[in-house]
Amino acid sequence: MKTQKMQDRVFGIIVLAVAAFYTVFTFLIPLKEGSDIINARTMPLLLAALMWILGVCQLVTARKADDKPLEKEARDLRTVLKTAVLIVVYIALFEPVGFLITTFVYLFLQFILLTPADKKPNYLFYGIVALVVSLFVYAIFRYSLDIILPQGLITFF
Amino acid sequence: MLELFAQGFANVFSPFCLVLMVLGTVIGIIFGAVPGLSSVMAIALFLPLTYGMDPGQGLSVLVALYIGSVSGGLVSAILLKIPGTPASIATCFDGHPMLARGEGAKALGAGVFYSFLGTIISVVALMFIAPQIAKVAINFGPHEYFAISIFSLMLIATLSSGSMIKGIFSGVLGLAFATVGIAPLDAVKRFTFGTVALSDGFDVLTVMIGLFAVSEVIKIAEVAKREKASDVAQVNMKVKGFGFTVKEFVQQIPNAIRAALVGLGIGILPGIGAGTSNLVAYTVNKNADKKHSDEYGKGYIGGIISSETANNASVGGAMIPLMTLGIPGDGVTALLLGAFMVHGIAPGPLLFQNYGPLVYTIFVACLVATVLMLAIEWYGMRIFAKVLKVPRHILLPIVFVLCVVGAFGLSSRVFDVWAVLIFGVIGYFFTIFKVPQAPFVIGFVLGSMAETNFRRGMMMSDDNFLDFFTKPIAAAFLIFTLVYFIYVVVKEIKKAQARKTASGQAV
Amino acid sequence: MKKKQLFASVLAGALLLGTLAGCGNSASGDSAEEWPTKAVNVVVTASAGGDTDFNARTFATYFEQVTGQPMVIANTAGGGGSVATSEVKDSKADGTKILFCHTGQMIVNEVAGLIDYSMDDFDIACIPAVDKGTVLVASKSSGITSVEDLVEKAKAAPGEITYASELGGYSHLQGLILMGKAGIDLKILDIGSASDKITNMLGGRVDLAAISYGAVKDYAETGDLVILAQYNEERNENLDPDIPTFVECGIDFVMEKPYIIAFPKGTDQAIIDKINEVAAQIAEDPDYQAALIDGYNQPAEYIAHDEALELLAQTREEYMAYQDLLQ
Repeated sequence: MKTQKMQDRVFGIIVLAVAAFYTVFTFLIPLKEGSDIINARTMPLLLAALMWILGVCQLVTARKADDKPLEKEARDLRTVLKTAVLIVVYIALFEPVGFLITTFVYLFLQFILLTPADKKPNYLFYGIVALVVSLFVYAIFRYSLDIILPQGLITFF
Repeated sequence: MLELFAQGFANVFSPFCLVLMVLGTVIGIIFGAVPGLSSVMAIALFLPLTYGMDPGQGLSVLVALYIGSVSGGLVSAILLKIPGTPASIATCFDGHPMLARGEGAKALGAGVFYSFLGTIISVVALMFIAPQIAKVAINFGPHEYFAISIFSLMLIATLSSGSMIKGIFSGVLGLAFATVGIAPLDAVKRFTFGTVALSDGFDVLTVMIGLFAVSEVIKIAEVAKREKASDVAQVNMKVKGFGFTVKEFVQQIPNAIRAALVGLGIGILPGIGAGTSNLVAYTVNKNADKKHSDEYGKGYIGGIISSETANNASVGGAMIPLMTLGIPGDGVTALLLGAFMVHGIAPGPLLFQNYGPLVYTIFVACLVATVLMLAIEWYGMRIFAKVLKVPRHILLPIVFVLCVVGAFGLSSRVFDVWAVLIFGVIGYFFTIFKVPQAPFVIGFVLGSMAETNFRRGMMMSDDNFLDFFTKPIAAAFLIFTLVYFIYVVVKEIKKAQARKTASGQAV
Repeated sequence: MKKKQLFASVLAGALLLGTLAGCGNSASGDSAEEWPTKAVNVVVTASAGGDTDFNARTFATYFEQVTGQPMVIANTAGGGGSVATSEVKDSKADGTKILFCHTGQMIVNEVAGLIDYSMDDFDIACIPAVDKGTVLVASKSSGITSVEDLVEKAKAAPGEITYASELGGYSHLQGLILMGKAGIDLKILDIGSASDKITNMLGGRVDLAAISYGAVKDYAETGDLVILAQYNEERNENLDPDIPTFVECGIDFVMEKPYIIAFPKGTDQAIIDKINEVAAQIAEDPDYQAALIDGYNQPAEYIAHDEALELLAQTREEYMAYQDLLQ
C-alpha cells in the first residue's frame, strides 16, 4: 500500500469481492413453497445490492484520492503471522487436549513471541504467570460460574 | 410513600445485605471491565445465592451487580481501548486518545462520575414516572421497532470521522453477519453451509470481543518486538476529585442531559439497551454540540460523558418495563425477572400496589448501588491504572485467554471461540484499512431486529408497505432517517468540494 | 535461534498431545452402575430466566441433593432449540451429557421440519415435570370475553381475529390445533416471545395469545387482558380456579407441555433406570413441589420411562397431522 489511492482501490475491490460472494450465496438460500414477495432472501438481496453500490462508490472516489506516498507504517508481519498460527493451534487443541495444558502452552509461547527485542525473555517468570493464570481461570469457571472448561487429558479436577 | 422508603432503607441497610451489595458491585465492575466476561454471567453467578434470601435483599444484590457491570466497561475501554461490554464502545473513541495524551485520570474520573449521574437520573425516572413512560413502550410494535432500528443504524454508520463509505460498509457487513442462521418467521437456513453450529448464527459477545479485543492482540504483534518500556502510556493518578473542573461540568450539562434522555429512551424499549444507547447518544451529541463537533474522537471529554451517561441511564430505563409491565428487555433483565419468579412474584402492572415494600427496597438498592459504584470506582481508579504497568506482551495474551473462555462459556462449544477468531481477523483488517468497528457491532445487533420486525410488520399489515408511513411513530423515525441521510451526504459532498478547491489552489 | 527451537518443539509436543487425546478419554470411562460419579452436563434448550430453564435448574438442585453430584446447566437457546438437541444427539453416550427440553423442541421442531431427526434418535429417559400453567389470553381491545364468545366471533368473521405466535414453534402449533378443534379460522401472526406477545396485546395490535399464567395474572386483574381458558386436562388448582379448561368450554382440546430428559442414543440402560429412580424421588420431595408452585404455579408430576415414551409417541402422531400447516 504505497499510496492512499492504492489502498482505497484495494479496499474497493475487497468490498466488491465480498459483495460477489454474498450475492452468490444469497441465491443459494432455499425458499419455501409459496413464499411471498418478502421472504428469507429479501434482506440479503438488499444488503448485497448495498455492498455493490458501496464498492463502486469506493472505486469512483478512489480515483480522486491522494497519489502521494503514505507514511510507511512498519508492520512486523512475521510476528503477526506467528501469533495467528499460535492462536489457531491453540483453539484447535482447546477441546481435545483440554483448557489447562493448551492455555499454559499458549500463554508461555505467546509471551516469548511478543517479548520486545531489547529484552531477554524471562522463562521462569513466564512459566509461573502462565501456570497461575490457567489454573486461576479454570478454577473460577469451574467452581463459581459452574462452567466446565474442556478437560481433555486432565480429568481429575 | 416515605414510610415505604424507610422500610426499603431498613431492608437494604442490614449488614448482611450491605456486605453482599458491596461484593456485588465489585464483582459487577470486574465482570464489566474484563472483556469476555459479561453482565449476564455475573448475574447468573449470583442468582442461585439469592434464592435463599428474601426477595428484596436478593434483588438488591442483583441490582448492584447490574449497575456495577454496566459501568465497569469504561475501565478497559479507556485503559486498553477494548470495551469491556458493548455498553462502552463509544467510551473508547475519546477515552483512549485522552489516555495517550496523559489525561487518563481525567478520562476515568469523568467516566465514573457520569456513570453515577446517568444511573441516578434513570433511577429517579424509575421511581416517579415509571408507569407513565412504560406506556410509551406499549406503543412500540413491529413497525415502530423497524423504524427505530433503521434510524439508529443510520446515525451510527454515518458517525465515522473518516470515509462515510467505509462506515456504511462496516454497518452493512455487520447486518450481513446477522443474516447467518435460521431466518426469522419462515425458519429457512441461511449461509449455514450445512453445519448445525451456524444455524444459530453468531453471538454478539463473540462479535464484540473479536472485533475489539482480539484484533488488538493481533495488532500488538505488529509492534511488540520494537516496543520499549518508555512507549507505554502511564497514568498520572495524582488528581483532585474526578479530574475535571467545575467549569467543564457546567459546560457539559447540555451533553449530559441529552445523553441521559437518549439512554433512558432507548433503555425503556425492550430489546435495545445500553449497547446501542451509548453510540446513539455519542452521535447525537457530536451533531448537537456544534462548537466542539470536530473534537469528538480526538480525546474530548464530552465524548466520554455522552457514552457513559447514556449507557447507565439505560439501566434504570430497562428496569422500567421490567417492574411496571413484567417485560424484560435483555438477558440481564430476563434473569432479574427469573429472580422475581423464583420467589413467586410475577412483576406486572400491580407490582407497585401488591408489593410496595419490595418495590421501594429495590429503589433504595438502586440508589445505594449507584453510590457504592461511585465510591468503589473512585478508589479503584488507582488500582485499575496499575494494569497499565503490566507489560503489554504479558497483559494482552491474558486478555485473549479471557476472551476465549468467555466465548466458550456462552454455550460450552468451541465454535464460539472460532467465531471470536474470525471476527478478530476481520477487526484486524478493519484497522489496516481504517474502517470503524462500531457500525459493524451495531449492524449486527440491530440487523436481526430490523429484519424480524420488518417481516412481522408486513405480515401484520397484510404486506402493505405503506403502513410503515401511516403509523405516526414509525413514520417520524423513517422520515427523520431519510432527511438525516440527505443532510450527511450533502455535507460530505461539500467537504469534498472544499478540499478539491483547496488542493487546486495549492497546485 | 534458541527461541525458535523451543517454540517449534513445544508446538510439536502440543500437537502430539492432541492426537493422543482421543485414546486418553476412553480409558477413563465410568461403569454405568455407579452413575453419576462426576458432574453431569445438562444442555437446556432455552435461555436463562424462562420456564424451561427454571424447571431444569430446580431439578438440578434436587438432583445434587439426592446423588451428591452436581448438574451443570448450559443454556443453548439458539435455532429454536435445535442447536442444543443436535449437540446432545451427537455426543458420546456415556451419561455425561444430557438434554433437558420440552415437546416443543423434541417433537414440534421435527414436525416443522427444523430438524431432520426425531425423538427416536435419542434415548428418552423420562418426563420429570409437566407445564400446566399456560392459558389462552385475549386483549381488551378485541372485546372477546370467553371461549364461546371467541368461537362465535371467529365464525362470524373468519380470518379476522389475530393470534400471536412464533411461526413454526410450539405456540404456532397451539394455535393451529385450536383452530382445528374449534372449527374456526384465525389469522396467525409472528409476534415473538411471551414479552412481545404481552406488549402487542396491550398495544391492541393482536387479539389472542397463549402465555404462562404468572406473566398475565396482574393484567387479568386490571382488566387489560382477559384469560379465556387453560390448556390442561383438568383445572390446575394453582391458577385462578375460575379459569375453565377447553373441554369444559365444549372444545375437545388438551395441550399440556411435558419436559423431557433425554440421553444420546446408545446410553446404558442402567443410567436411564438410575435417573428415573432419582426423578421419582425428587418429585416426592415437598420442597421441590413447593418450589415449582412458587415459580410457575406448576404441580409436580413425574412420568416414568415406558409411560413417557408412550405419551410422547402419541403426542407426535397427533402433531404430525398438522405438519403441512406448520411448515
